[in-house]
Amino acid sequence: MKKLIISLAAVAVLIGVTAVPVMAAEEESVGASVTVNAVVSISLTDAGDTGINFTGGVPPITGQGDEDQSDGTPAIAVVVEPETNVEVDIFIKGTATGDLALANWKYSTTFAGTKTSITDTYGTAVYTDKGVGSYAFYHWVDVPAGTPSGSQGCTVYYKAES
Amino acid sequence: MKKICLFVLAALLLLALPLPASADEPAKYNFASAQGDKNLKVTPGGEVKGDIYFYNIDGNRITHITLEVGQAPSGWEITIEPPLSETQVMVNSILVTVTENLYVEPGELLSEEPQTVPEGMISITVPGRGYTLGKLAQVMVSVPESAALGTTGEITIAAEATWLGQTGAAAVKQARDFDFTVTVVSESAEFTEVIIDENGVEDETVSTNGVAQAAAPRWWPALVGGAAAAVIVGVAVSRRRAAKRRALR
Repeated sequence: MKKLIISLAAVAVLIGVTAVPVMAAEEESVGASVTVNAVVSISLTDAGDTGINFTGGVPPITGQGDEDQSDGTPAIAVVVEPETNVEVDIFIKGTATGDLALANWKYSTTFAGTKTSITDTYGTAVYTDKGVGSYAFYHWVDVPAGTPSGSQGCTVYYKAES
Repeated sequence: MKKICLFVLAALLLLALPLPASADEPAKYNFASAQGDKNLKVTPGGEVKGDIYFYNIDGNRITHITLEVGQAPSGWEITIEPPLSETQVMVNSILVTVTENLYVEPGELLSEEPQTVPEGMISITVPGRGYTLGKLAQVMVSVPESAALGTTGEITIAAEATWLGQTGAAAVKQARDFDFTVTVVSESAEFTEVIIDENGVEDETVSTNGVAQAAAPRWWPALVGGAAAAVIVGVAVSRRRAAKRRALR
C-alpha cells in the first residue's frame, strides 16, 4: 500500500511539473477599446457691425480694410472653443455675389501682413494643427477702376477640419 | 418753497446727464458639433445609422444648418434625418424663408444633466464644461443585398452653417465635414476562423463560439502523466493480488 501511494504521488508530481509550466507560460491578452467622439466647436467673432463691412468709395480702391478692424482686432476671429478635443486645420474660401471678382476680396492673418486673395476652393490651410484659441482673419478689398457702381458682395466660408 | 425748487432743479440736472450707451453685443456665430461612432457595421441588404449632434452655447445668433451627402459608394442609399425643409424666420421684423435641415438656437450651459428634455431636442454632454440641449441629425446608410462581406464604404456628410441678419458686403458662413466608415459584415453572431493551408485547402475550424479547439495539444503532458499513472496503479494492484495468491497457497 505504501508503495502504491508513493507511486501515485510521484505521478502527480510528474503531471504537475510537466503541465503547470505550460499553463504558466501561456500569456493571454484581451483587447480593450473605447470610442472617443470628436467634438468641434468653432465661433466666429465679428468685430463691430455684423458681416464684413467696407465704406466703399470711388474706384480704384486698393487694400480697403473692414470698417471695424484695427491692429489687434481682426474683422473675424475664428475661436476654437474649450470643449474641442481634436486639433483642427482652418481653411477659407469664398464666392463672389456681385460683379467684383473674387480675387479682389482678400485676407491676412496679421494687420500688416501679406494680403492674399480669397479663392473659390479651400486649398492650403491658413492655420494648421490648432487647439483651443483665437485665430485672426483681417479682411480687405480692392475695387479696380471701371467696376460698376452699386453694391458688390462676397460670401466667405471658414472651415475647420480635424 | 426754496427747498422744493432746489429739489426740482437737482432732479432736472440728474435727468440731463447722458445715459450710459447700451452698445449691442458683437455678433458671435457658433457652430458646435459632436459626432457619434465613425466606424459603423451593416449587413448586406441592411441599414445602419450614424449620429451627429449639434448645439450652440457660445453664440448669440441662431445657427442654421444644412447637410448634404458629399461622398458615398455607388449603389449605397444615404438619407439624412431631419430632411431639408423651409423655416420661416422673422429677422429684424422682416420675414425670411430659410431652407435647412435643422437650426440651433443659442442655449444655456448647464452644470447638471437636464431632467426634462423638450421634444425634438436632446441632452448633450459638453466635455469639461457641462451639459446643454441640442439637436440630433442621423445619417441612414442602406447597402445593397449584393454588397460583399468585408467591403468598406467611406461616407462624407458636408455641413454648412449660416446666420441671418448680416449686413456687411461680405457675409460669413462655416463649413465642416463628417466622415463615416461603414463595413459590411455577416449576419451570423458566431465567430469562426479558418486557416487556409499553402494548397488553398481549409484546415479544421478553430474557435467556434469562443472555445479554442487549438488549445488541446497543450494538454499532452497531462494526458501522458495520467496514462502513466493508470499503468503504474494497474501494475501495483496486479502485483499485490499475485502476492496475496502466493501467500494463500
